[in-house]
Amino acid sequence: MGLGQGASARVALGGPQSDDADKRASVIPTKCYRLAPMKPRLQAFCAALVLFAAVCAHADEAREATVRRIMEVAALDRLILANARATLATDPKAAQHLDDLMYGVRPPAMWNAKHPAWAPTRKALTELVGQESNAWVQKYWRESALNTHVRELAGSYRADFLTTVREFAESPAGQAYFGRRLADARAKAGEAMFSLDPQPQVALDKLAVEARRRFDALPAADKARVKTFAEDEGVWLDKYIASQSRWIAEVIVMHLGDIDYKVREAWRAQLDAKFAALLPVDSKKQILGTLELRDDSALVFRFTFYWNNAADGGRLALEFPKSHPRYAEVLALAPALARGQTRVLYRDVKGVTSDKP
Amino acid sequence: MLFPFVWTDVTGTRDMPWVGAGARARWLKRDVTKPTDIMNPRGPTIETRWGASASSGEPPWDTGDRAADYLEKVGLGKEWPMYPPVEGGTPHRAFPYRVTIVCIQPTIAILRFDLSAAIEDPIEFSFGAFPAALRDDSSDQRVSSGNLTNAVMFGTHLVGTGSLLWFSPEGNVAPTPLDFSNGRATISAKGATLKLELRGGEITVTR
Repeated sequence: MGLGQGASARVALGGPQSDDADKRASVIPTKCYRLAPMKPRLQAFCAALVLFAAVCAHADEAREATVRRIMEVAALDRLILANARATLATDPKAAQHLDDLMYGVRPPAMWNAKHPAWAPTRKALTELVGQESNAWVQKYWRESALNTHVRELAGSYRADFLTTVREFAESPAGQAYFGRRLADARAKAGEAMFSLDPQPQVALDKLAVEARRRFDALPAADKARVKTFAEDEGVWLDKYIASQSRWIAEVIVMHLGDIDYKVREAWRAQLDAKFAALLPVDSKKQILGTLELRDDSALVFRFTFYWNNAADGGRLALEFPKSHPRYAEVLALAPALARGQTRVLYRDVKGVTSDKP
Repeated sequence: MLFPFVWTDVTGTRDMPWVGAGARARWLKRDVTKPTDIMNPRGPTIETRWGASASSGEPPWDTGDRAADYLEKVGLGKEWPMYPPVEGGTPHRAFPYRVTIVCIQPTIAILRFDLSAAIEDPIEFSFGAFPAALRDDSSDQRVSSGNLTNAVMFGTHLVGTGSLLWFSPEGNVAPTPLDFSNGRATISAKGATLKLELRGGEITVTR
């Protein structure tokens, strides 16, 4: 019997009621008393639904607890991150973002990979990016990524599967198996950037050797258990690891293209100070492009522009053959330009174009 | 402050081009926002015209586009490469000339050769295309530019360095070199005559 039904009966009968009941009756709108009573079958269905939801919620919590334990003993989250780092090393988008940061130091018109200062500056810049990325990924892991990994694994696999994985991960065989995989992945990917606990490559290689040794020293029965796991649950677990690694790889590549302006400016100042003698001369002017006097006497003005998410994504060239009516005017922008020579053109705030930085 | 559906003269300190054989053009605006536009995320609907009056004028952007289209039509643009198309936008041409409209009805514009015009002006350098007198308010001296990389400018003062040409779409005058003798030149198209004076690297356009 529902609340509505009982209260309605009391009012209708007009029988003896307590003072409290009188007060309730006087303040509760009459409409509430006219709700149709639930049929017993519907009541049973609703109760079952509530019970089911409660059981499901409890099951989710239990699964998440299992997954957290797996993460703790197998360090799957770190394996995912190491795999993502390995992807980063071969992702052209990541390399392009680093190049874009280099073009923030000096624009594309002034230098590129052929410039003698490019390689040492890029190495130093990569170190700075690495430091920033480590701090960023540590925060991101704490606040978001780890929880996402947990929820994804807990929500996508059956409870008995997760229990099996947890039991295996807690066993000596599992410890050695996941330990070796993680150490190998860390050594392969390196930890120059996006690392939770960055280690030098020598240390990573050493850890990998130790992990392999521990795995090789497992008794035959444990090795058989590893084999069984790897051929059964391990296959499905690897699918999860691969998909999460792909996702994290995308996130960290995006971060490389979205570094705060103030941070980039600070890097530029540091690189300017460190490579002052090597870097192309800086200019407060707009750097337009380069003017080349070709061997056939034609003048070619080349410039790059932002395109396809890259600072040097697009290139155009304006050609002025010697017969062109503006030839002399263009040549005058770079006095004494010799054949085969190229010079950078600048434009000041008053709109005057010249070859003076 | 604009009154609803009433044209208001907001010329202010703009250096306006001449109108045909008459005086300077006026910059007029009116708010045509309807009550049903209250949820429009782009804000109020404002119409803009320039000319002697709102009824005889036209949107400045139309004039700018027509000038740029005419350059394309007479083949001056074909010599220069195009930027790749941007999704939803007109592909721009790396056109190394600055365009300044000095008269409307008919449109008369001056072309100034400037290699930097082929590249979109960074904001911090954009006023460099204007003469010193207009730099502070240079953002008020531009109209749209069809497929040109940078905005078409307007006014009666312009930078006078570089090779100079003039053209008129309505007068059907293709880009023609400006011949300054003793620092003065005169141009005429479709009943409008303008006198140009070149002094200190700056051109002033008068009647």
